[in-house]
Parts: sequence; structure tokens; C-alpha cells
Amino acid sequence: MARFLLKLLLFSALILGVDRLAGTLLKHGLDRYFGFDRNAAVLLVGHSHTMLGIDAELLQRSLGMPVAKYAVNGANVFDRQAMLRHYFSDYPGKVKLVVYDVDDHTFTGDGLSSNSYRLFYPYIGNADMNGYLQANAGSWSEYFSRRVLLSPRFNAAVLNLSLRGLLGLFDNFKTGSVDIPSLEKDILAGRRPGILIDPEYVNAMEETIQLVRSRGARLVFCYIPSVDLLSRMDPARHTQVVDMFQRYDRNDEGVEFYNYQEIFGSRYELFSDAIHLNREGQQIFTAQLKMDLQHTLSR
Amino acid sequence: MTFNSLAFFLFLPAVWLAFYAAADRWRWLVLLLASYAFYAALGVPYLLGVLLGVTAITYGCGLMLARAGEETKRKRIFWGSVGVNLSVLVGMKYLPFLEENLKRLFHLGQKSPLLPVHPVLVGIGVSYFVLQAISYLADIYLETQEPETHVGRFALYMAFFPKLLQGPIERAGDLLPQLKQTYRFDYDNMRSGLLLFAWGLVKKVVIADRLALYVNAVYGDVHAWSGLPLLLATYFYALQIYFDFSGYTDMALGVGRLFNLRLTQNFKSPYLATSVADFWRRWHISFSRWILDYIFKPLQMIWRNWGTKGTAGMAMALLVTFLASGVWHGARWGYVVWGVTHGIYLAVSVYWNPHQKKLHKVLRLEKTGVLRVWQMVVTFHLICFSWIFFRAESLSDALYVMNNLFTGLGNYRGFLFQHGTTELAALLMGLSIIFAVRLLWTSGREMPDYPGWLRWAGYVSLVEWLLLFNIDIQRAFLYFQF
Repeated sequence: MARFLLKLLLFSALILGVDRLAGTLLKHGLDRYFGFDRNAAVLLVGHSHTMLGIDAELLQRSLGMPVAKYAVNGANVFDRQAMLRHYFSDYPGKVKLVVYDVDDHTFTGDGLSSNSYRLFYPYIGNADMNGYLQANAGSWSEYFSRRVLLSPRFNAAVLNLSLRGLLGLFDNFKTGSVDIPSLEKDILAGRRPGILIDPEYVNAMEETIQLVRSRGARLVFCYIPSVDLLSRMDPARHTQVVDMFQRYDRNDEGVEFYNYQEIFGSRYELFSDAIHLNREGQQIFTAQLKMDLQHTLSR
Repeated sequence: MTFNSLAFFLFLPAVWLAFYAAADRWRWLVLLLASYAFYAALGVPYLLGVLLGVTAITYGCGLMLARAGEETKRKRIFWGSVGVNLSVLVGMKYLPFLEENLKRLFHLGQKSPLLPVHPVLVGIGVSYFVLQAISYLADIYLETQEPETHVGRFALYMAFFPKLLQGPIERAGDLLPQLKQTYRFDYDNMRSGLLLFAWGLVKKVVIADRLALYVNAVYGDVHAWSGLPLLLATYFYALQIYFDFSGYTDMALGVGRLFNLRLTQNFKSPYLATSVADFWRRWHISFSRWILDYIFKPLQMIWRNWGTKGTAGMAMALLVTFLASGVWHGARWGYVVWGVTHGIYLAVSVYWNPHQKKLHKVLRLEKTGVLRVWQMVVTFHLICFSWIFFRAESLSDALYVMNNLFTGLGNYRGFLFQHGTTELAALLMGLSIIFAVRLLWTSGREMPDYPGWLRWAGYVSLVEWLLLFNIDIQRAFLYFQF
């Protein structure tokens, strides 16, 4: 019995050690992937549109200043508020400009995963993120196990980003072209989500503006384009969403709105699917974004 | 509380410590209370009542059966007690089906359920402990088993928590004598039990749950897919159900070993079977033994004079037995067709086997490796075909899958990469490791034969693999619903 207990203790200690080692290494990779190690002056925040639509390395080189890209699949307005709080508390006073991706579906959680908060478990050590995760965790055991152990904080999606960071593979893009006839069929069959405006999401967005401005940074709402057929499904609502961002732009000098939907939405060759830019689209779009950001930063 | 939950990881050591600290004469009580607590933790209070009721009736009837001398009385007691147990099983099993139809009949709508719990939880565990109760009564009736007089030990035999929700279905002759043994700490049992538990957990949360991501996407909306993705999803399901169920069994066996109890092995590489009959000797063994002993054999005896040398009787007994097996799985036509399909496979083999042997002799293929591999491939595909009915949401979905399995490549890229490259890589890596370890085990070398550092490296890697690559959606075990 004593022999067994001793071995069990030793084994547990070994497991904890290996877990710490693996967790620390993976978090380092994730920090690198997001560019947290760069003391960024420009912070890109968003979901897959930013992830696949903006080449942060190219932007960094062309702007001549450090850029961090904190973007994860499915991050909604609430997730992003938690992401910003996390970033500002861990790297205070460095960011001059926050670029925040928006689209027709910014004010709704429809179409986005309700489990997106799980992607932030690697940052449970940050007090702000910890509060957010505690509030969203599906069960006490889900939260508690990740509080104690480091490895379970990395699911397959986060692991992918972390490994990319460790290996220095910062490129993230899709190839191929959108299948427009299939998309038209989907739209006709009602398989594409409609545009909704949820007041809770609007409130959260207004809190986000205050948060960014209170940290002394400027905020750019950047409409990363999607195929314009989607916006044309409900033109009135699309206009309403665009108007809201234009109003934020008008009401605060530190807030700007770049609407790229009008410029790129009809250039279908730039899309890999209905809502994501392909490699060529990413390069062209990033070049355009760079020019506009230079203009904003020079003011 | 399921084996793959944090609550269970806290519960198990607490139970073991209490068991270890207790005096030997009270150890059964610790396990019994733990088993009832485990069952109650599901949050469905009436289930504990059902378990207690079935236990009390079976215990009482077992004693009465042994004491009754007259055959008519014995028959009456036996069939009466089996009838009560069967009505409990049918009632619990078909309650969701009944509820669904009542809702339709009285236009109650989806938001006014008659049952306060999720359909999977309605009769969870009942199928297993009722079959165990029937086998206990049948063995006493056939005088192959003495009734257990100690009510506590009998209750533990019925409720022992590792096998309560999903089997194995234990025979009284196998488990009851073990419950009477004096417990002595056994280092090897502890080590192998924990290892088996961890291995089962890997099968469940790393492999089966990951396969489910792909299978559910296709079988949840079959009409969105055609060709290769349907074929791949069917293969994936065959693997998913195996890893899910055998993972659970490994965990149950592992937990049993911590208390020096050897539960029945439920799986023996079923997809390496060379015939459907062989498959049933390797798949869900405790259940197939049960249906063989208590359904097939009596029917075969009754119909032994049908056809030449009783072949027609045997074929009919197989058909009925596997129909019953399908019905046991639940109130869905897919299960019935699955059971009948297996019944047909086996009934046909009764007639085909003699010709098959002659053919192999003529072709000089007897006992050759080529024949063995060919038989394994054919058997695997016959089993996969039957899984289509088992998994599809409806019979029309199953027919759609069958009709579209070979209609080209379809969107196979979309199927394989729907959850990203990391998920696919983790799946393929996991499957490769599982198969590599299986190969190592079949080489005949036991764990203690390897050097200490290698064993420890293996154990640590296993746990780290679990921590890093588990699917973080807590999914119930597939066989809970049956």
C-alpha cells in the first residue's frame, strides 16, 4: 500500500510537471501567434474575417510599427470585449489604435458558436478573462479542471494556433473561389442567416467603444467584405447596420468606420467562400487597409 | 455522474478510501451506498426506486424459487417474476415512445413533456439490471445457481456502480462469489485497474468523441451529403460505437479491479471477426451470451425438429433472437431492422456454411491467411451495412444513405476538413497510436516486461494525451440510451 501511494504521489507530481511544461510552452506559442510579444501599436481584434482577411505580417512591415492580431473563430461582441480587457490589462498603455472587424452580423450571436469562450481558456490566468470564463463556463467541472491544469485549456482550434506560433507559421489564408451559383441557391432556399440587431449586442458594442477610448486608444471599425449577395438579402437592415457604425464615427473623433463592403463586395474572385477572403483577396485588402490606417495614424 | 466527468474523478478515490478503511464485513455496504449514490447523482430519483423494486422482487422470488419444491409452483414463481421484470423493462424503455405519441394525440406540443427528464435518462441502466435479474432467476430455476441469502450482497450484485449504467451484464455465478471474498490490497490490480481506466477514457474522449464530430455532421443531415462522405461517415460510426462502448467497458473493468473484482470482458477485437457469428462472440459479449442462453437456446430446443437436422428451427431461432435484440435497443424501426439484418445474416449462414466449407476446400483456401483477411473484410462490411440502420435518424435516412453511398466522391474534402486540420490530424494520430498499442499487446509481452522508465514514460504520455486531446464537449456514452 505504502509503495503504491508513494508511486501514485510521484506519478501525480510528474504529471503536474509535464502539464505545466506543456501548458507554458503552448501559451508561449499562442502569445507569439497573436503577436502579444511585440508591444503592438496597432491591435487587430475580430473573428475569422480578420484571421483570414488581414495579413498582419504584411501590415506590420508596411506600416513600420508592431501589429498584434488577436482574432479567433466565432468571437462575438462579448468575447471581444473580454479579449480587449485582457489585452489592455496585460499590455497597458502601448496600443495606439484598435482595428475591430464588423459586418452585417456584428449585432447578433446567430451563426456564431455559443462555445467560442472556450478558446480563451489559455488566458484564464488573467483576472478579467477569468471572470468572463467563470461566467460562461458550461459546468463547474469544465472551469475547475482548466483552472487547475494547463493542458486542457488548449482545444484543437487553439492548439493549432499555438503550434503555428511556435513554428513561426503566421500565414493564415484560404485558397479557392466562392461558388456563386451554390450561394444563390442557398440564399433562395433560406439557408443563410438573416441580419438581426439585438439591443444587448448594441449595448455591449457601446461599452466596447468606451473601453477602448478610456485606455487612450483610437478605434477603427473595419467592415471586412463578404460577398455582396448576402447584404442584398436584406438591404434595409444592411443599411441600418452601416448607419450605426457611421453614427459611432460621427459621434467620437477617436472612432472611425472603414466600409470596404462597397469596394470589394462585388469582386467575387477575391473570396474563398461567401464570407471569407482568399489569399489574393487578403493581399489586396491588406494593402488597402494599410493605406487607410497610415492616413488615420498620421492625423 | 459519468465515468468521463470530473465529479467521478473525485467520487472514485473517495469511495476507494472509504472501502479500504472499512472493516471487511462492512465493505459491501460501502460499495452498495456508493452505487446508490452514483445512480442517484443522475438526478432521476424514480430510477433508484425502480432499482430497489427490481432488487427486492428478484431477491424475494429467488429465495421462493429455491424453496418451492413443486414444479408447477416453481414455474409460476419463475414466469411471474420474469413477467414483472420484463414489464418494468418494456415500461421504462418505451416510456419516451409512449410520451411522444401521447403528445401527438393530445396536441401537447414539445414544451409540455410528460416526462420530467431527458429521454436518454428515462430508463438509463434499467435494461442492464433487468437482464441481470432475469438471468439470476433463470439460473436458480434451472438449478445452476443457488439463491443469494445476504440481501446486501445481492443488492450490490444488482447495483455495483461500474457496471450499473452500461453493463457488462454479470452472471450471478461470476460476480456473487467475488463479492464474498475478503479484500486484500493488491498492487498489480491497482496498477492495471488504473491503467485500464485511463485507456478506456482515451478511447472515449480522444477517439470516440472526436469521431462523433464527423459522424454527427453527416448522419444529422444526410441529405446534404452524397457519395464518399456517406461511406466514410459509416466507417467512422463503426469505429465510434466500438471505441465508445469498449472504452466504457475498459473503464468499468478498471474500476472493478480497484476493488479486486473481475467483471466480464465485453469485447475481443470484434472487427477482426471472420464471420457474423464470430462477431457476436466478440461484440458486447455479456449481452450476446445472455440472448444466446435465454432466448436462442430455448427457442432452438422448441423448434429442433424443424427442417433437415433442425436447420430451419435454428435459422428461425436466430431470426427471433436477433429481432428481440433489436427491440431491446429501443422503440425505433432502425433498431428492429438492424436486429433483423443480423438475424438474416446468421440464418443464411446456417444454410451457407456447409457449402462455404466445400468451396474453400475446392479452392484450397482452407486456413490460409488470404481467406482469413477476405472473411474479415467481408464481415466488417456486413456489420457496417447494418450500422447504417442503427445510426440513421429514420428509416428513410437509412435508405437515402444506402442509395447514395457509391455516387462519387461528393464533398469529401468538406467532410474531412470540416473541423480543421488539427482535429483530423489528432484523430488520425489517435487511431494510429491505438492500433500500434494493440499490436504491442498482441505480441504477448506484458506491461511488467518493459523497463520501468519506458512504462513510466508510457503512463505519463497517456495522461498528457488525455489532457491535451480530449474533446471538451462532455458527451454521454452511446450505450446509455439502450
